[in-house]
Amino acid sequence: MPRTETFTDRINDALDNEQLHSNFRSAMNYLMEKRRDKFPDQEKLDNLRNIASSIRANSLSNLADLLIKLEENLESNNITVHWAETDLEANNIIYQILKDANAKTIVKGKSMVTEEIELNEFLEDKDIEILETDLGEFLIQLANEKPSHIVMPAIHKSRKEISKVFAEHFPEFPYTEDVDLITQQARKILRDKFRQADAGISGVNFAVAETGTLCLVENEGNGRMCTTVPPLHIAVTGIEKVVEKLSDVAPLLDILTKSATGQEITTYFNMISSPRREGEKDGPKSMHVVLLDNGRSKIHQNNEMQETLKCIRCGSCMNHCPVYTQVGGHAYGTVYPGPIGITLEPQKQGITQLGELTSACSLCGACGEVCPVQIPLPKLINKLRSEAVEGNNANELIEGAGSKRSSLELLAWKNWRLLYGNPFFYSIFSKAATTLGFITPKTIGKWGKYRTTPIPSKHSLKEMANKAGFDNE
Amino acid sequence: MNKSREIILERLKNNTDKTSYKKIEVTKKTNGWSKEEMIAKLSEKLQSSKAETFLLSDAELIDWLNEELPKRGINNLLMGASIAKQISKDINNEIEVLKYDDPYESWSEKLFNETDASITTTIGAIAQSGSIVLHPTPEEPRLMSLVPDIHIALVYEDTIYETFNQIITSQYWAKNMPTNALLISGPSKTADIEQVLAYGVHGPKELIVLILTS
Repeated sequence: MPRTETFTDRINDALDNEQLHSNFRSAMNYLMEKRRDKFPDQEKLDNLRNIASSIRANSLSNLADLLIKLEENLESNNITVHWAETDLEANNIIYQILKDANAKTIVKGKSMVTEEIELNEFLEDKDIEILETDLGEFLIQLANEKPSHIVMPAIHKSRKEISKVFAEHFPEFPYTEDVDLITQQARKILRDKFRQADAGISGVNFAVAETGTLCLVENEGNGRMCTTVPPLHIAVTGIEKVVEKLSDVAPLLDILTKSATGQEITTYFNMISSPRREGEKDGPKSMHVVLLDNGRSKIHQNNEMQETLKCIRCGSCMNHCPVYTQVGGHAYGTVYPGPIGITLEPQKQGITQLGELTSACSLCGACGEVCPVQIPLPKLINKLRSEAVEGNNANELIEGAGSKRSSLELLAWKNWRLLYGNPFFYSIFSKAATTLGFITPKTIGKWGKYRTTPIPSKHSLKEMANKAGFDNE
Repeated sequence: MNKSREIILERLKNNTDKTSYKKIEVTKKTNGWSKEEMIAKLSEKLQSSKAETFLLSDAELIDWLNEELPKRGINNLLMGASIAKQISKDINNEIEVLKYDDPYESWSEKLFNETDASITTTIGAIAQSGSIVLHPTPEEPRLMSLVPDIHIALVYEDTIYETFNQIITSQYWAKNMPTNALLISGPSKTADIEQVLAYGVHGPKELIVLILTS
């Protein structure tokens, strides 16, 4: 999808797109309702959130040790471990592994981290065919688009739009808008691809340090196909996905699936601890894990912002976000949209670059309330906003802190503080506002573009209260 | 070791806050469901995910297969050696018994395109989430529960646990992780197009769980 220039342009385009609204509105309503049905008991939910949050906080507080332990156990399970500090490094590592194995055709399971490093584009440039196999991802790859939601990537597209794209690419199948038929056609196409692929690439939901196990959550079975059928499996994961113990996995899985899609559990929970062993008849012959930093270790250094890394990528924050629902995932222009996106992306790419994303928030607090691992998203978003104008880049870990400082805005707020902090000035101001209210301009900048301009009342609240006989002085 | 590894670890260790957040322990208390309640719960949850469940005695298994397989148009059935030993003698001779004796590569096309159904054992089930649990082995490899259109799984009633954590701890998984462990909770499905549920997208179109009583 061609992305228009600025964030504001994209927002405006999205707001003008009726079809997009209705696609997102109905999808978000569906997901919110399904989640709600799975948590009928608030006390139990709070308890589970406390547990899940403590597991993630524990992982982050021992992150270096856990990664070393994970590496040790993966290696002893015969899985090769690679460390990548940047997206480019990760892509090069993956390319090298594929080249060494002479792998030309790749099947991929849904993975946001590979979206983050833009692996598909990188490999396609090197003439390697990489095919998305999650149905939603497969469909948007056909349409040459990007995911608009981290769990349901094709949520922005209607069935009609999908049918059209499908028919364009596979004219051998009769045109249909029947979801079952499209699904069966995709099954037929992709099964051959799994069987013929030279390598499979996947993400990771949880990496267990204790046992060197990679856990994958999915409904379709394409993740199992990608990690079991081809002779080579490469898993890519952010360094924050590690958990200490195998027993940590159960509560995280429980709250992940319920929060994400309102499912008791997904169809498959796939725990991979080793490639094919001697005597086994299937499974990949070799396995690699790429541990990706790409800005995470920097976020980790700031204790407050570190909470961002607790995220288990359920998408619940975006499902409940009134802004996301209005504008959809593409308007953000980043890999991760919605509340977690506007918190994570400016930290990774810098406030100078993406600080404006934090304005896509009404601070309603819904995301913080539903987050299964209790990331205080509204607080972090607010913190980023204040870092953008008040922070000092020289001392701060967040790149671009202070870059959005505007001397005019600063002056305005200084004056505001003066007026509201001093009874004498305030009384003059309120007198002026009530008597001269009629000269208020008809439109007041961007803020007033979609709002009715407020006109100050002829009498202040204090005057009216006094008149009505209240005396609170 | 490579440079990036050192840089990343160094940076992570740089965080001077040495507070180690304590994990809140998951309560070990269970609902104390009886065997009957476990079976009922497991069946209910599996069915709500569109799996079929049947409660049979060990001895009834062969009759069930002989009656149900032809009805469902199953002409061949993939199985491991132990199940084969138990049933191949008595199974309806119109049903071809297939075995996964050779490495996947030597018969991938047949597995993908000509295998109607598979039957596997499980190492247990989880009542609360409605999941069957598999630890694939050389005898019953990983793809047996994924590639054929229909997957039939045997669950012994006394291997049903209430929760995922219970099965992990009771069976000492952490000390002895298999190469692949799987929780399966229904046939393969997707809701990627307008949230409409569609089954059998990549994996089995049908999951049949036979709960065997002793």
